[in-house]
Amino acid sequence: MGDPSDADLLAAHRAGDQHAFGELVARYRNRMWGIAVRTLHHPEDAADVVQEALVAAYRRAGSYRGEASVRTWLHRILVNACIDRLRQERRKGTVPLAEVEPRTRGRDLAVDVVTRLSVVDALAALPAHQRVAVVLVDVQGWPVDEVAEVLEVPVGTVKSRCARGRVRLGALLGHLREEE
Amino acid sequence: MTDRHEPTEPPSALPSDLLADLDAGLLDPARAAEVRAAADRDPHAAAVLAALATTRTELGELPDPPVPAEYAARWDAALAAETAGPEPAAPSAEAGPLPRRLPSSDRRRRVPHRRMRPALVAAVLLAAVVVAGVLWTPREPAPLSLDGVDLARAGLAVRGDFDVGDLSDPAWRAGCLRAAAPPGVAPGAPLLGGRDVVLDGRDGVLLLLGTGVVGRVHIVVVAPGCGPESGELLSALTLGG
Repeated sequence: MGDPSDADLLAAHRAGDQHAFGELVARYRNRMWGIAVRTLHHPEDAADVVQEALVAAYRRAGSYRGEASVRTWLHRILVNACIDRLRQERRKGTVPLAEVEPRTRGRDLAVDVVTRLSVVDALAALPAHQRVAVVLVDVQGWPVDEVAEVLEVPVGTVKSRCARGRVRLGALLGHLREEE
Repeated sequence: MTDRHEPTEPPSALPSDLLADLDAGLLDPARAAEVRAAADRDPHAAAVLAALATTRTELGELPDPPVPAEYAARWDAALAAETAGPEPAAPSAEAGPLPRRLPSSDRRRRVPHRRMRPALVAAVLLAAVVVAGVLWTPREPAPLSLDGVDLARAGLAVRGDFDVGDLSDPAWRAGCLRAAAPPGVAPGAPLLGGRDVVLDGRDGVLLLLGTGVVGRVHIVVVAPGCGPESGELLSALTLGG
């Protein structure tokens, strides 16, 4: 017999199995952390948001209706928590987004070394909705239609946010020239 | 400085945003075919599409960063708190208020990132030290009475407090746990929190310990003076399975 599905684990949790939710969380915890830390660009905030999402999922398990996959449902909770956090920070004006200068065009040996860090910093410079879409589609490799389900927006909106975000990132990373 | 007489590349008829829409699959098939055909004849457009592809590749190569152990332990404790059930509406007057549970959003609120000049910072720090030295002398927090209080709830409430004296030293704590031998608790279990308590009229030290399993924690109470030489177990409890 294979591993229980996500839906099996959630159902077992609802039925009172004390291990089931932990097993479900263990499957997604690393990914949830990756999404949160790439989206929020701040480890403490990301840790807070993952914790909020896990606790919220634990509490809301009873209201899960099966209309979306468990993975989608869980990540919708996470992404909404991320977006809420970004809105709070923006209202307070306490966490300015990284001011990233476009990288000089052209590559040399040093460029490859710093690319990863630069990509992370460049991501932080995107508007929140573009950043979330790019993180889910391009960084995490999720299908666009599932991201649309997570974000509860049309597929075209996800594509559009990714398109705008990639142009901006391409400029920040020095692959594209900013257009007037 | 740019020489204004220097010949420049003619601007492409295809703006980057349109090419990004094509790249993202946003255009309807007919329009996509039209734009792709135009891009094939336009070196600038081809370069833009290549740049978008490079950008996507770099994003896709970003690895998921590992979860720091301290955060994983924090999440485990939060889930274990949920497993233990909802908090009572109000703690009993006899037991006194429990230490505040530490929801992450309250535990750490960063102050606005306003930069202060170093001289000003030094002056403020000096003033704070002088005032603190005059007005405040440190004292040990009073032991928390666990009489009439649910041990699970009290244990989870100490998360983030580390007033455990010598037991904050991992080697000393491991020796204590070996000596006291709470069932199922590894000597190297990470400390998530702890404080002095009074349990059934006896002084003790409560330790909240991680297990490495999501949502599972140990709550251990040992007698004061617990260490590698000797240790007395007063109570032990595992939450979350």
